[in-house]
Amino acid sequence: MSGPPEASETGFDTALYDRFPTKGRRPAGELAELERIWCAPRRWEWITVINNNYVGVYYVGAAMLFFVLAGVLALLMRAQLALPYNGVLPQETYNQVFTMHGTVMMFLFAVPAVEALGVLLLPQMLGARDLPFPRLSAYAFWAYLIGGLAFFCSLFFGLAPNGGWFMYPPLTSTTYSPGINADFWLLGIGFIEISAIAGAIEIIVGVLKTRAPGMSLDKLPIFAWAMLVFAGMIIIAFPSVILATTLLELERALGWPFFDAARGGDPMLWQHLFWFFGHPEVYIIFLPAAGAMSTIVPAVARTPLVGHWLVVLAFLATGFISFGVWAHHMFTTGMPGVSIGLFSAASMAVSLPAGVQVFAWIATVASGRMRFNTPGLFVLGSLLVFVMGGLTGVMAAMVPFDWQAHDTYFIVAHLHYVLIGGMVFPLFAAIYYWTPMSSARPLSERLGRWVFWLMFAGMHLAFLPMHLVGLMGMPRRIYTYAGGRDWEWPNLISTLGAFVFAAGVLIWIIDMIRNFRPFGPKDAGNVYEGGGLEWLPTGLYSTRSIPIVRSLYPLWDQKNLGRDVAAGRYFLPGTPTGGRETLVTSPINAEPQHLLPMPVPSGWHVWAAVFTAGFFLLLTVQAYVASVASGMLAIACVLRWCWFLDHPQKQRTVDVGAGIELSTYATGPSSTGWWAMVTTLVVGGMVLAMSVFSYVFLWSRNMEAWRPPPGTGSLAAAGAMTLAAGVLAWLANHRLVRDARHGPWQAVAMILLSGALLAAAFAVDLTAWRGGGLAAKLSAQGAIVYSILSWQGFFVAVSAIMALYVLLRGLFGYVAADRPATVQLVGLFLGYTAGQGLVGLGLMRLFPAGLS
Amino acid sequence: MKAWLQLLGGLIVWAVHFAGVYLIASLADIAPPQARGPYGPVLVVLTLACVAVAVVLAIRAWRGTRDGEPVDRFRARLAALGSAVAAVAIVWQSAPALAGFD
Repeated sequence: MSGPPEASETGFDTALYDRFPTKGRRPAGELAELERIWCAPRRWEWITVINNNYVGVYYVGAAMLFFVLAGVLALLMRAQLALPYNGVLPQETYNQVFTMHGTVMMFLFAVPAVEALGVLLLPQMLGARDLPFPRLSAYAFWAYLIGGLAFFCSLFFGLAPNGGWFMYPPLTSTTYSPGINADFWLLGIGFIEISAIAGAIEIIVGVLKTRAPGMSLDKLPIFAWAMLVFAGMIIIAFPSVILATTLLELERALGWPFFDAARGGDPMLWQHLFWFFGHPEVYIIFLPAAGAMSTIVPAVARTPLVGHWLVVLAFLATGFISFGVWAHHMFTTGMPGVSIGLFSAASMAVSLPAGVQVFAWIATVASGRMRFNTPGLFVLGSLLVFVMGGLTGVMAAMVPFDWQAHDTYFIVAHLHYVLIGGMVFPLFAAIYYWTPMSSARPLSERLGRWVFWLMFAGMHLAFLPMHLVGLMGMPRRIYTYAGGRDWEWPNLISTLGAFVFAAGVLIWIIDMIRNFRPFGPKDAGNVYEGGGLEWLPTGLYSTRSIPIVRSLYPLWDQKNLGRDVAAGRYFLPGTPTGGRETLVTSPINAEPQHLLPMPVPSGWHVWAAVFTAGFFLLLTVQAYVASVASGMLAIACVLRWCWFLDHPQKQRTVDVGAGIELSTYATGPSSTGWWAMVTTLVVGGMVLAMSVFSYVFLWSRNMEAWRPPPGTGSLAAAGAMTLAAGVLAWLANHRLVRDARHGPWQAVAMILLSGALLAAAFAVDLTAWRGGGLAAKLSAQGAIVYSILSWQGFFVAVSAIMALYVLLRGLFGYVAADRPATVQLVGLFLGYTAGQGLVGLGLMRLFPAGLS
Repeated sequence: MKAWLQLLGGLIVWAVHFAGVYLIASLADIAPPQARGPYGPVLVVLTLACVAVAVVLAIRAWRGTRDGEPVDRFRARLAALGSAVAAVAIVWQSAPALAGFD
C-alpha cells in the first residue's frame, strides 16, 4: 500500500510534501505554547472540557455504565426464569425489566459505545488535533448521559416502558398502555436520537475533512472506514425512528390515528418505520466493531489485514444492503408473497459481506504469527460466536423456518450470539487493545484472560440452550412458565451461564479499577505494536506535529516517524494563530486545504445538553410549560454557542510548516461547516422521505376514505412563495460576496424575506387544509397531512430563528463579504426548507388527486 | 461528488432496483386482480436495465484499475467489484419476485 503522494485533487502541490520532515531544531517555547493552549482542565473545567481525550473517555465510561446496568437487569430476568413459576419478579416488573434491558442495551449502550470509541480514537488515528466540532461531541455526550440516567431511573418509580424494546402498537396505544410508561420510551429516547445524530455528523465530517495530509482513501485506517459507513447509516436510519416515535407520541398525546385501524390508520406502519431503523441498527453497531476487529487482528497477528480493500467494499455493501432487509422482522404479518421473497433474498445476501470480513480475519490470523493475548482471545472468540449467530440468522431469513421460530427463544439466542459476537466481544478486545493509548498502565493480561474465558463460557452456557428451548416452543417475553415441558433444565443452565458471564464482567471492572489511569502526562504506549497513527507519541494536543501519511500502516512502514513527529518536523508543529486549531484536508486525497481554528471550553454546550434532556423528560411527565421553557433555553444556549463561530482570524493565511501557507478561513465544500450543514439536511430529507412513505402507505390502506385536497388557488400561492423563498436564499450568498459595500445588508434582507415568505407559504397551506375541514383526529389522512405540515412548520420556525440570528449578526457588524459562512449556511437551510415545502405541497395536493 | 458516485455507483443501482421491486410488489398488492398483468413485465424491464447499468459501470471501473495513482486504482477496484456484485445481487433479489408474478 505504500507509494508516492497522489496527483492533486484541490490544486495543492503535493511535491511540497518532500519538504518534510523538516531539518533543524524548532523554536524554543513552541512546545510549551502548544501545551499551554491545550492544557488540562481545572476544577469546573472537568465538566466543560471538550478535548476528545477527556470526552472520549467519559463517553466510553458512560456507555459501559449502561452496559453494566442493563446487564444487572438481564440477571434479574434470568433469576426469574431459572425455575418454573418463580417469584423473583412480578409480571409487570418483569415487563418493565425486559423492555429496559433491550432498550438500554441498544440505545444507551451499543450505539453510544461505538460512537464513543470513534470520538476517543479517530482524532489520533487520523492525525488531527481533535474532531472538527468538539463542542458537538461534548454536547452529544452530556445530553446522552443526563437523559439516559433519568430515563433509567424511571424503573425505580414503576414508570419504565413495558411494551418491549420495539414498542409495537396497538399494545403501546393509550388503550392498552394508558400510563406514561410508553411515553418515557417515546420521548425518553428523543435525546438519544439527537445525540447519536450529532455524533454521526461529527464523525462524517471528521473522517472526510480532518485527516493527516497524504492519508488518501486507500490509506484511510480500516476503523475510520467503518466509522464513516456507520455514521452514514445513522444519518439514513435514525430519521425513521425519529418519525415513528413522533407519530406514536402524537397519537397518544393528541389522538392522531396513524396506527389506529378503526380510524383508517394501520399498526403495520409502525413496524415498517421501526424496522427500517431497527435492522440497520444491528449493522450500525456491528460495523464499528468490525472496524476495530480489522485493526486489532493485524496487530495481534503481526501482519497486514488480508484483503483490506475487500473488507472496505464489504463495509460499503453492508451499509447499502442492510437497508433492504427491514421487513424480515415482519414475515409473519401477512405481507404480500412477492415482498416476502424480495426481503428474504436480501436478508440472505447481507450475510455475504459479513462472510468476506470473517474470511479476511481468518486469513490474516492464518498468515501471521498470532499472539494469544487478551485482545487476541477476544477477537478469536468474537469470530466463533459471530459466525454461529450469523448462521442462525441465515436460518431465520428462510421464511418457512422463520414462521416456526418467530417470537421464540431461538430468536433470543440468535440475536444475542450476533450482538455479543459482533459487538460486545470486539468492544472488549478494543478496550484491552487501546487502553494503553489512554492510560498510564495497560490492563492486566492475567485478569484479562479470566475475563475472556468467563465471558466466553458464560455466553455459550446462557444462550446455546436457548436455541433448544426455542425450538421446543418457549415464547419470548414471558415472565414465567409451567413445569413439565422439558424447559426447566435449559432455563436453569441459561441462568447459570448468565451469572458466569457477569462474573467475567465483574473481574473486568476490578481490572479497570486497579489499572486504568487516564488523563496522566504519559500513557503506556504501543503495547501491542499496532501500525496506526494513534500509537504516535501524543499529548493533550494529540501529536506534536501532523505527519504526512504514505502507508496504510505508517508506524510499520515509515521509519523514524514517531521521532520526527515528536520533534515537530511535520505540519503544524506549533500554534500559528495562537489558539486551538487543526488542519482541514480534502475528502479523497487528504490534501491540505486550510487551517480550522477550534473552540476553547465554555459551559454553553453543557447547558444546552441539560436543557435538551430537560425538554424531553419534562414532556414525558406532561409538564408542558416547563418543557417548552427548557426547550427555549436549549435553543438560546445553542445560539450563544454559535455566536462564537464565523469570526475570521486576523491573519488570513499562516505558515503551517515548512513555509507552506494556508488560509485560516473557508466557506463552501472545502469548509467543515458546509459538510455539517449538508449532512444535517440529509437527516431532514430522510424524515421527509419516510413521511412520504407513510403518507402513501396510509393512503394504500384506505383509498376510499381519502378526501380531495383544498383548491388550486392556495396551492399556486403557497408554491410561488416557497419557490421565491428558495431563490432568495440562494441569491443571498451571491450578493454578499459580490458587493462588499451593499452586499451584507442586501444579504440580510434576502434572508429575512426568504424566512418571511416561507412562513407565509406555510400559513397559506395550513389555512387551506383547515378550511377544507380535514381534522387530524378523525382520519389517518388528517393525521398524516397535519404531521407533514407540522414537520414543515418546525423547519419554518427554525428558519425564522436563523433569519433573526443573521439580522442580529448584521447589527453587530458580523455579516460581511470576508465572512460569508453564516449567510451561506443559513441560506442552505432556508433553501432546503423551501424544497421540502414544495415536496410536501406536491405530494399532499397532487397525490392521489393528480392520478385521477 | 463524481468520485463518490463512481465509488458507490453499482451499490446505488442496486438500491434503486430494490426500491423499484418493492414499489412494484406493493402496487401489485393493492391493484385489482385484473390490473396486475403489467407488473411482471415492468419488473423484467427494470431488472434488465439495472443489470445492464451495473455491468457497464463495472466494466468502466475495471479499465481504471490498470493505471493512475494508487488511490485512483483503489477506488476503481472497489467500484468495479461493487458494481459486479450489485449486478449479481439484482438478479438474485429479482428471482423470487419474478416467480411470484407467474
